[in-house]
Amino acid sequence: METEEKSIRALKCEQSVLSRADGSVMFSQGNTVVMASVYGPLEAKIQKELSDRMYIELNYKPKIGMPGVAERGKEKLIKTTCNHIILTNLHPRTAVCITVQEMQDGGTLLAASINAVCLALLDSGLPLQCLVAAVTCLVDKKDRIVLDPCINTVKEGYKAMCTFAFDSQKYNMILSHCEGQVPYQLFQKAMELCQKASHVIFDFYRQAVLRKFSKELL
Amino acid sequence: MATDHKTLQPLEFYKTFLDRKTRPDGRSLLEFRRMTLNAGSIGTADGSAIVKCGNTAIICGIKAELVAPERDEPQKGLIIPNVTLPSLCSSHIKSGPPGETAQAATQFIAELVNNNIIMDLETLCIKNSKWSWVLYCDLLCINLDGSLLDACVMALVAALKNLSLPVVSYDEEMDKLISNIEDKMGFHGIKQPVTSTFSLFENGILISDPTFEEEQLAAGVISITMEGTSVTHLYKPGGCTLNEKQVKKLMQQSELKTKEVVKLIEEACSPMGVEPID
Amino acid sequence: MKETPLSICEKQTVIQGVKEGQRVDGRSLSEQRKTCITFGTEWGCCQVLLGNTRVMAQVSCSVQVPKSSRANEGMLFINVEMSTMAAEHFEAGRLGQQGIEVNRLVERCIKDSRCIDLESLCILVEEQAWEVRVDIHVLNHEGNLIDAATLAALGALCHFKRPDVTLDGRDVIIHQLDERDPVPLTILHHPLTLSFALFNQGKTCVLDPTNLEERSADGKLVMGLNAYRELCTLQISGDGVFIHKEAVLSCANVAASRAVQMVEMLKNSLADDAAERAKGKYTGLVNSVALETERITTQSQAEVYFKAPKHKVEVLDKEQLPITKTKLINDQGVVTLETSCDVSSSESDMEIEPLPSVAVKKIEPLPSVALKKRVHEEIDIGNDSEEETVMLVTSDLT
Repeated sequence: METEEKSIRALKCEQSVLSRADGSVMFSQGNTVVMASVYGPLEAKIQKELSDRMYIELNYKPKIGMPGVAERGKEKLIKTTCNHIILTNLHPRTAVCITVQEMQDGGTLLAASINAVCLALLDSGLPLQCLVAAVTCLVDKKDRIVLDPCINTVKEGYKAMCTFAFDSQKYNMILSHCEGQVPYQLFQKAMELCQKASHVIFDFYRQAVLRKFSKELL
Repeated sequence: MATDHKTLQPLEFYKTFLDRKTRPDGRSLLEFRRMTLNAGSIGTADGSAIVKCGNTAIICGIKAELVAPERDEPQKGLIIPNVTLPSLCSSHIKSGPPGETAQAATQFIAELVNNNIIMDLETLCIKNSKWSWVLYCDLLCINLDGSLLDACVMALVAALKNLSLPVVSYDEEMDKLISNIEDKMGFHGIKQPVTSTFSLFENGILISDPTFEEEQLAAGVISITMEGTSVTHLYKPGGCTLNEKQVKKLMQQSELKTKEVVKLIEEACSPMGVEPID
Repeated sequence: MKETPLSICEKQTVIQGVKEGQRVDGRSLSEQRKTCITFGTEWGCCQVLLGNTRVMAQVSCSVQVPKSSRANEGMLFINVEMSTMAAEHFEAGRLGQQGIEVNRLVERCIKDSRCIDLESLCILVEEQAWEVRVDIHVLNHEGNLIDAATLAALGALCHFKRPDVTLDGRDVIIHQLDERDPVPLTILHHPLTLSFALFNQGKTCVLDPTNLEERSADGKLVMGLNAYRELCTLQISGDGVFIHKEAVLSCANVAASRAVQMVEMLKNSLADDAAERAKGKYTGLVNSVALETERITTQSQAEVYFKAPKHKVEVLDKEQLPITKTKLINDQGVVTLETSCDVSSSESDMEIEPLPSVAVKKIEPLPSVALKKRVHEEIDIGNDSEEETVMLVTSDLT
């Protein structure tokens, strides 16, 4: 198979960035900056308490205005992803409170939010089943696949923008979210490409954990 | 005995069925429920449809208004979907402001609309930056028993096909709209996307068109929207993982369902609906 | 979630310390924490770090119909958002008592002192005017939210630029940001708040209290001042605290000189930001993820490359779809209308194997990331582990 070089933008993160949260991270992917915090396990409210597992409360906060229907949609996507990766049955009758704050829109907010939440969960030390890495790609008007597009590329218009999230065990798809219309072949290729790109993010997670422990031990 | 088992260990109970490749309601794993569609059922709405997929029932009513288009998109009309889940539709839904399920469903439909998957929004415009149609599409769930998105999309498409509005034209010289209440028109170019929902279980088992109970027990859900043979939207909010082979399998299934639903909508809408004019 | 209660001994330590002129974090009584102001790529985005307290403000604008009572003015709306991110007892979407207090004080300091020229925001009298909205997000609550919030709001308003507008008769044309240079807001003066925690029945005032100090204090004194040493807001709160007028005056003196310094600092930060932008390749808040030694930060190099299968760009015909649709339909016979798609007969070849391993095999081992410039640092983290040394990868920033 022929190969070509693809790239994803610079990844940068600061862990334990907030002093009060149990786990927090400021994550940047290119010019996109997202902050995520994790509090938990906490005492759950009676009406939210689940007898067999932990309740996950997730808030996505837009930069401008109050959270609306679009944010609720994002919250649901991130929350169900967290439901899969956190070992929720280890802490029944408790709650974990995850907040995602959008800080700078550089194109791929959903993917960056998921990656930030994963890093924040890692930072908090909650037991996880696996890690998750999300990658966005865009199919432009000439049917080319653009991986990890920046805001200018997004603004130029596109046929479809797809975000995928993969697990760290078998690199299977956990989440797929697609805006716009795309033929199945292209969709599949986009998915394959994002799957490859997710390795880079998992690599970055590994580096981040290494940094965290080397700093904490020194 | 069976009911005790079901109450105490619902997942175990369900898995014994899955192991035998069947489901408690007698369906096989990839079988869809019976679908019924009735278009034009509400006399006072400009377009309407009732859909039943198994026990899930959705009623869609469309009310049209003429407004000035949005400033940043002067050549487009608007479709404003709103999915309402009243407390009567399920014992799991509480009354009060719209819950997460309803908002997520509204957002899903809004995404389809804004990406021109349902229809080209530019056809709703009468005069650039002056007048365009705004269609308020209210989707009311009467009974919630799983696969909400499937039924919503089907109801919306059928109601749009059923839409009949007075013919309105814009008079340049007088700078006003001329309409004739007698003449009715529909819209051309309403696409036929079909959403198919599947539930996933931990051991790689996939079931199609899940009921509410099945959705609660399942480890994940995926909704594929297709138009003809091309995928227009693939929505998988988290949950357990899928590999490429499984995705392909689901694609084939949804293609089958798409054909059925398209046939059903055409059958239901053609004799009742008004012939679209240009 | 309730806030963790403050123990009596913690409270006593703080009170005793303040009596002796000592503070838990080693500052003197009229010393502020380190303040840091950063800006985002979008106009009107400002992040303020006051010690560990972190607040972000974003300004946005939209065209609205002006109020009938002030037909020739634009509007300014201030909204404080507190979520669980900042502290465990905050709830997203509900401000609570503390939130309302912060919101109102920021409003009093910035909106009621009329530091923004609202008349310049009017486009057409009685018809169209700009509404400027400031969203203040509290990210981390380590005390003195009010000062951090006002500074962030003021910074964001100073940084903000709105789209230019021209009038063509009665038609309003709004120019996009890339079409015509955006216009900054007219700012008449720069008001800031400075808070003091009152101890010892109002005899001792402590500037810029931390969360611990705020909770142990008897009351609070908030002063809003501008760089001309003019007072625009004053609030004393607390349970039965009486404060001597001399103390208020001395606080006002301290606050006034601090306000001058802080406005100076804000102006310097704005100038730095403008210089940074002029250089091009501006990255905004990405820079605030600073690679400092005392913080846990990780960075990959500018772009991470990996090998990917080459994709052809042309769209494939529908006939080439790898779906055996005709076969499937034959298998199940004719499907009649109104029935469910019963595909049970074709289930045998539709059956899904439990986790097929094909997809897994396809995945190649983790791609070796082609790092070009690397600095290797070896750190000994333990002698029991198999790997005794760990490679630390940081990019060479030069």
